[in-house]
Amino acid sequence: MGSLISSLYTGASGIYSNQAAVEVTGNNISNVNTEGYSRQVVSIKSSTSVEQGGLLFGSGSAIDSINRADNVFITKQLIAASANYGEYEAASTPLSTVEQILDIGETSLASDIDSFFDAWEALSTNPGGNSERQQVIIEGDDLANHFQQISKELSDVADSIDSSIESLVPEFNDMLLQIAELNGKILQSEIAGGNANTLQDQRDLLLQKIGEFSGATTYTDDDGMACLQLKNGLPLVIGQVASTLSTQQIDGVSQQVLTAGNSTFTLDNDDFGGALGGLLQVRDNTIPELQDEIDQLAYEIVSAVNNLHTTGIDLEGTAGSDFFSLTPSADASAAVWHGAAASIAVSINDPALVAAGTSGFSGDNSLSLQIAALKDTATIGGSTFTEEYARIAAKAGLFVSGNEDKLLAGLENLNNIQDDRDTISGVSTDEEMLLLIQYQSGYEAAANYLSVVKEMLDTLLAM
Amino acid sequence: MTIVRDSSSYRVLQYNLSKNTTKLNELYIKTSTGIEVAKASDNPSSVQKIIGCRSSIVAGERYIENCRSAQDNLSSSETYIDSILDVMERAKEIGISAANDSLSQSDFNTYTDELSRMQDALLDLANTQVSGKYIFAGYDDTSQPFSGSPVTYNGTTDHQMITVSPGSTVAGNITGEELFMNPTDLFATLDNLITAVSAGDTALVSSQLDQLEVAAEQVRSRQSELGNASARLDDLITMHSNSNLLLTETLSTEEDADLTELLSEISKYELSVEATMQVTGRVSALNLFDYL
Repeated sequence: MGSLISSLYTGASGIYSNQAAVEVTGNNISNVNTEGYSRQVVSIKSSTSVEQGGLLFGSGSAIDSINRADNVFITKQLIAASANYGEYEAASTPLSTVEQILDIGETSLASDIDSFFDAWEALSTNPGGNSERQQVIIEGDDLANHFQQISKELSDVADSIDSSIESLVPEFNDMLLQIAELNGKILQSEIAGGNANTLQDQRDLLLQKIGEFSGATTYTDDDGMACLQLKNGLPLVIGQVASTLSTQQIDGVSQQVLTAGNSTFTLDNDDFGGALGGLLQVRDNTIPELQDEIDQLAYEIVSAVNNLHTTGIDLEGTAGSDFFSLTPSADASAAVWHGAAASIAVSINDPALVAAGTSGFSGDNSLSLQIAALKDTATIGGSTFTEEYARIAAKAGLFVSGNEDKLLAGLENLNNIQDDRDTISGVSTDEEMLLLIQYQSGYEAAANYLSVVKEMLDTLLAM
Repeated sequence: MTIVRDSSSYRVLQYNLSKNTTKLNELYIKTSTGIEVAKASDNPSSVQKIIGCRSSIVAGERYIENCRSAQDNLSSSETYIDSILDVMERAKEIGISAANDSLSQSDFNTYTDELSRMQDALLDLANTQVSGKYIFAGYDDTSQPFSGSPVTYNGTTDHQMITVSPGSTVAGNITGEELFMNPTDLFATLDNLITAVSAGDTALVSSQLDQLEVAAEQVRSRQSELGNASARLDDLITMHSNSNLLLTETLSTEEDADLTELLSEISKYELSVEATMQVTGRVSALNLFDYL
């Protein structure tokens, strides 16, 4: 049979355990809205029994551990879902700008194409008319300017993607360093037998953010350190060593370069997921694709009009010159139309140099009829010029609506996984309140028990 | 069992609230602009139709204008052709009178004078200018088409074709060649009549009468061609106007918002936003603290 004094200790341990549990509950309640916080669970165990007189007596309770409620599988899912969401979220802004550039309103490029050929049609009814000739030149200028504007605005979008990536890179490198540091700290505190719950929460949150930014995947090494690697397997963080991402100009193009130890790797859009992947995808695939088609459209209009115009004779009796001018692409391996939209311009200033016919007579409208008829001619892949523009604009629209759908699906998926995470790791105030009551009553009971033991001691001492 | 934590329920509410208000905002914008497809992503499949309709409307308006301009050209030609026909018919009347054996030489002289004046008038008509352009000169509308003695045609035989509907054209002019020279030369016919009348050779005058009729017939047939063309242009104008109306309607169906549908959508989403708001209020109201 145990002594009354040891009974006092048993009571005290109950008070301590419950007090500690109340503290943990309080911490949970305080962190109910902390991002990335994992609910902590107190595990109370019964203290080692003491043998006396052949009987085993319990010696109260003790705090066994304070654990965070987490699930590695869900944490991984959360990182993957963040990467998925990050990719479409980041792409949505530049894509919608691209869509606005290739607009379908009444002032779209298609309207300028219509107006240009309409001016030729008008010229055909009065082939010698100065104002009709002037109009053809003005509408040609408008069309050329619109092409140039589209081309410039598209490359502006690509440039702004570059600068937004550049502004994100320092924060990204900082997060990689933090992970490496946290890996070290967590290892140390675990070796020392302490609990690294808060640090682990921080690390999980960072992993999620890095995933959202770059699509990096994570694995845990033998020491419990979180390691990160890009889609192509290149290391971002190994143990306590972080790589550095930087942006460099390579052949006039802004590219991402990863420095891991002494090696450097040049990366392209396939190596990234997440926001970086989404942005690079738009910059390297979507924009060049649309730019190329706009270039081709400009090139085909220029060739078709020039081919006819040079067969004509202008009002001064000389052979028609090129109506539009283009600067040929400096890159010999590129398509002939490369850069056409950026360099298209009307090369005629003098209305008299517009060739409306093939005879040089002021009443000859035969050529203007042919040029006006180009608007109904299937010139590019079985489409007319405006049909081709509509196809390009619709394509840009499909990029946007496809991205929107994926973004919405990604967001819902992310929300679902976050709900799953909350189920395990989230704090419920109601639940914590119940625990609080439970621990409070445990504390009260232990205190009551102590006062009973004290009375017993008093009784004993009063004898 | 899935346990719903505080942050889950707030997140779900926040997500739904923002989703519904975003949608509602979109609907408000559509209703106030009246446009359903403002950007390609609103409905990529209708982009081709919208741009196609706008193109066709611009083209249709141009065709109507072309028809009107062709009609203007033709109707001014018609006025002058009427005068030419008057000249030719008067020449024939003179020819018929001059074929009478009982006329004196002075009568023949009077007729000869009148015929020469008519020949001058015919030349003037053939060189008619409208707003600075010779209308019977083919393509070469800045140089005088008829000159010399005998009168020759120096213009071109080209018709200024005007597109009046896709792939179809109408000649916007009548050339001096087809009106005055070919197959019958109106000036030579008058010349021959003048020679016969001034010589007082009634037999020769009579022999010219058939040729005069052939010449007048040549002018008449051009005149009726003009009438037909003008009628055809009227039909085309009506056709293009109707088709533009239809196109505008199609464009509106593709592009414009259906207000009735939008308004009912709006009330649907307003209701669901309201419901979400109410529920959000309740979530914080329902709390264990109240019962402790």
